Amino acid sequence: MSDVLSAPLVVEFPFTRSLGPVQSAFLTGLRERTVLGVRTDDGTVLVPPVEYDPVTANELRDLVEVAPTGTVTTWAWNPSPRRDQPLDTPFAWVLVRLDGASTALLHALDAPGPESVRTGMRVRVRWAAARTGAITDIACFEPYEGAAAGGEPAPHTGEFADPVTGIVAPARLDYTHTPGRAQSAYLAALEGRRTVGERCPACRKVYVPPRGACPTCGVATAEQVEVGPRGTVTTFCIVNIKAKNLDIEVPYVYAHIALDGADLALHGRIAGIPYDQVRMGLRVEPVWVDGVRHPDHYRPTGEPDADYDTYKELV
Amino acid sequence: MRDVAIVAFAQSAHRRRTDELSEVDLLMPVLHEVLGATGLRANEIGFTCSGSADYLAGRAFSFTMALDGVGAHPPISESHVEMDGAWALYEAWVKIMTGEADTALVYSYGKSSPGRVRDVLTRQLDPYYLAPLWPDSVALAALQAQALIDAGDTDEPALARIAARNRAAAVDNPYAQLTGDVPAGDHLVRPLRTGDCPPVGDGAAAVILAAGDTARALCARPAWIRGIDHRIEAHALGVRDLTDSPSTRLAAERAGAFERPVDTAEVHAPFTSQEVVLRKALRLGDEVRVNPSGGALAANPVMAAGLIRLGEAAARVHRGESDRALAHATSGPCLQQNLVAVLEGESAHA
Amino acid sequence: MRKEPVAVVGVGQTKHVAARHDVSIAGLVREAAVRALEDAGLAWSDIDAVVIGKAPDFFEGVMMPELYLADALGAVGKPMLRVHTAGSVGGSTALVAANLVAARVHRTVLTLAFEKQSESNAMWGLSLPVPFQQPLLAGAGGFFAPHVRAYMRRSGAPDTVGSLVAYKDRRNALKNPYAHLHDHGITLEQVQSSPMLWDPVRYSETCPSSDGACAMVLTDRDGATRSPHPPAWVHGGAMRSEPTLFAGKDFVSPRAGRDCAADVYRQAGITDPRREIDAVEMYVPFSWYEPMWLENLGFADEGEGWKLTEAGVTELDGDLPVNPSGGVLSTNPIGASGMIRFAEAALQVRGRAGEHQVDGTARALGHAYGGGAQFFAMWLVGSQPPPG
Repeated sequence: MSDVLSAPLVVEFPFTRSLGPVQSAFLTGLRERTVLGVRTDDGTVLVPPVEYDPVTANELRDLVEVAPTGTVTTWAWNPSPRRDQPLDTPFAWVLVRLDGASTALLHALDAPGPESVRTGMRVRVRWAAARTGAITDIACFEPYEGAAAGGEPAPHTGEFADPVTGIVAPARLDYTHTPGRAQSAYLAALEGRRTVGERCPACRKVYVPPRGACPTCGVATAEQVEVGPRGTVTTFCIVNIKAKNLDIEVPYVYAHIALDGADLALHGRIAGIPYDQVRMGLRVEPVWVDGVRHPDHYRPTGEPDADYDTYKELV
Repeated sequence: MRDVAIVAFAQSAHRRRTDELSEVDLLMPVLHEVLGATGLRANEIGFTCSGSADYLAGRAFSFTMALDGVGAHPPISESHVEMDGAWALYEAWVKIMTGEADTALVYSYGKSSPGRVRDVLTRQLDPYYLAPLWPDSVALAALQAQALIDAGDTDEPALARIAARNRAAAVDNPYAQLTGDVPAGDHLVRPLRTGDCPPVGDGAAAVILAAGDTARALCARPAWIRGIDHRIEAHALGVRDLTDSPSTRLAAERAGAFERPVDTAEVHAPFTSQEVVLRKALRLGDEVRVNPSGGALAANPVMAAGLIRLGEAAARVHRGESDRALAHATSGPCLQQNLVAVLEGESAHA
Repeated sequence: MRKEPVAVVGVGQTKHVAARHDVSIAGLVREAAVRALEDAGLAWSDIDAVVIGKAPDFFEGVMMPELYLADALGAVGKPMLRVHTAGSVGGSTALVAANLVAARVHRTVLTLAFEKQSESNAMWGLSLPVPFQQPLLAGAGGFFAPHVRAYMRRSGAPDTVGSLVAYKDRRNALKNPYAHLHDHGITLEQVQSSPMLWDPVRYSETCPSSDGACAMVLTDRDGATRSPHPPAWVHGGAMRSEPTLFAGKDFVSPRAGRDCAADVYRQAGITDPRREIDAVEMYVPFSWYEPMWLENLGFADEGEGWKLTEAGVTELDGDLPVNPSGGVLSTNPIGASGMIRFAEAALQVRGRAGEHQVDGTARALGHAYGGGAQFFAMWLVGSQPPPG
């Protein structure tokens, strides 16, 4: 259907993650070009180190230092890197068992092409130029000719000057949001400054905004019904605290408004009357401004207040 | 132990995009169909449980909007898992096993089209060591596929044959999204080609569970759940043997899958290479019809594809095409979490 | 066949605070889980399955975090379920776990709920910039305050009642070492004079944003006999849901809440909740919800709930103490808040609530709700096994 709306939705936040002792030591170590693992009760050395043994669930704190060189245990060639991946030129995803480790770490391998990658190949860490204490302090792995260093990994206190205790993990996901048929029709009517709901074919209730389905009957709604423009304030609050994303001077009134002909209230701001004179039962009408899809606010119509009994079922 | 059966199954046509449909629009016809098949009304259902994930379409609480399609008034006994609908079915099965309900409606839906599902699924990974690298779901599956190739368990031509077999079977599945002769294509992440990967799309599914005589009254040939179990593995790929799926094997043992042979299996293998792992773990030989629906390679609505495996297996029992079927669902990177159910038709016990 | 009786033999919580900078998400949940195991005298190997709950994944920016948390919670090789029913999730998670025991699917189950709200910002998670939608015209409290006004209109409650609840809960929190807010010098005058944010809701009448986790170990009759401490027995549990919005919805006293309570009382053989229940942990994110829920849950007739609050009945030394732990008003790791209610109810009947113990509690109600006042989960626990 061509009249279905669509718009980008960006879900993005810089998450602040505290690390706990083991992850703090590991990521601080990366900043200092040191790779740490953790030893389990049976002597397995887990790299990257985790706080809890995946087999026994025991708490792990016995840190060791392993080599920045290792062996590829499996790989996958990525011909078209995606946003935020470690390299922006074609690379191999690899699991690498570092020398001294029993388990493998996932990262990227910079290699000229898939022909030059194989399971069992030797690689070493390529450190990022600027390191902050994050998994990306390993810029990637690169091919390395040297043999595996022998010997047991040495114990490590995990102590470093100025340890990293948290990371900021920005994450952005891009979506294309489509609100569906019912909401699209509602929004299209708003363009003409009309409020159009939908009536349930079973219970005959009029839903504004329409939800596509009657939530009590579980059937699709389709019959369009224009409601309002006038309505009744069923309840409200006075907002005295400025919300981060809103450019409205406080105090103002945020109200539930039952438009005439609708069977439930929608939400809007009340203006054109001192905030402390707004009351339940106040009769209001929408005020539209150019270039804004939804009513900017509702103002009193001057009609007498609605009697409580006429709208109490809508509160 | 109560006898509990899947007595009805319905699903949407799975499509690459469903821009004109909200989640409730996508789901509602499926709910109507599955209720219609049993003659039950929503308020006659003892328990309702759904599975979905907010991250797919980028909206918190998306399951609360989907509830509009159920007609939850008067209020219903209801729950939701942030998991594939197969686990919603498990929760509903437990509820019936307590004796508190005799029937249950289970549904799930997934709209992958609004986002980029390969990127979205990276948010499932360890937020400290893995997620910051954004390794996408195809990349992780490819690491597993290469491990299988290195172990001699498969090769690229064998993977292509798995893809071809599933999509040839899907020709008979009117709900499938990707069917018939699909080219192997280029490497998406080597060794996996586009043909080894599932289609991205939107879809919904629902089943009805019922106990004992209620099940017999609602369905001519109920698909009795003889066993159902699920298990999870460690999260990090580097501590797991990617060529094996011990959690699948354990769940299958607990579900009684190995007690007698099954004739049919619906396994949830979004990638061809994962079917290799699952066949091994589930000991499925060539005598077993594997994925007669075409499986997740033919339609993979994320969060519903596992429930669809249970529904497809049950539907075969309903139609008399299977006497004992295995259904499998998976979740997490490289088959981290797995559920196995064994379904039987009544005559199999006669 | 009768259901297997379900016993709560372990309870563990973190010290709830605004931000736990010293632990990872795994470290946070682990702390609560270990305390629950220690309380139960059990080891990881004694646990058959794990049921975890939390509110929207956007809060921590980890999709289905139970996948990553499997190792920390000893779930490897075991079944793990993840529940999400909005704000009621902590309660429904506990009920799903209880059903695993009641159905004899498992013997001993670990259940846990958490939120680490300091990883992001809850208001961001709750108000993603979805295109075409009219922006929410008020902050978090703006969603609740109009319903409070509707309650005041309907019941004729004086506007002083909200402050009484907040003053009570914050003082109760001083007796609970795990509570987030510990405002030692608090006075009623301070509560009454705090800024009116969303009139009729004052700042002091709103809940904090917390990092925290809560865990419980549930087991069957045999397991309960091995418990080193007295168990709490589940006498009834139920969930009810209704749509977010619908024609005829009663936001002040949602039918789903009434029906859920009625189901729990029926299971537990309760006919007069006001007399037969000794303590209540109810989900009160804004203080006025105490009188509203007192009516919704059948402790008072319609329009009369505020009179119980005003008369001191719900005080720690009243005859129906409500939120002896300090409640959601003092501690709110969103996804865990419902489980904390369930767990605190269990602590009361086990006699293990410490300084905020209500003496002689034989039956206690744990209550959780969420979404658009649409999802309800409750359980009633007792110090004695259910009859039969």
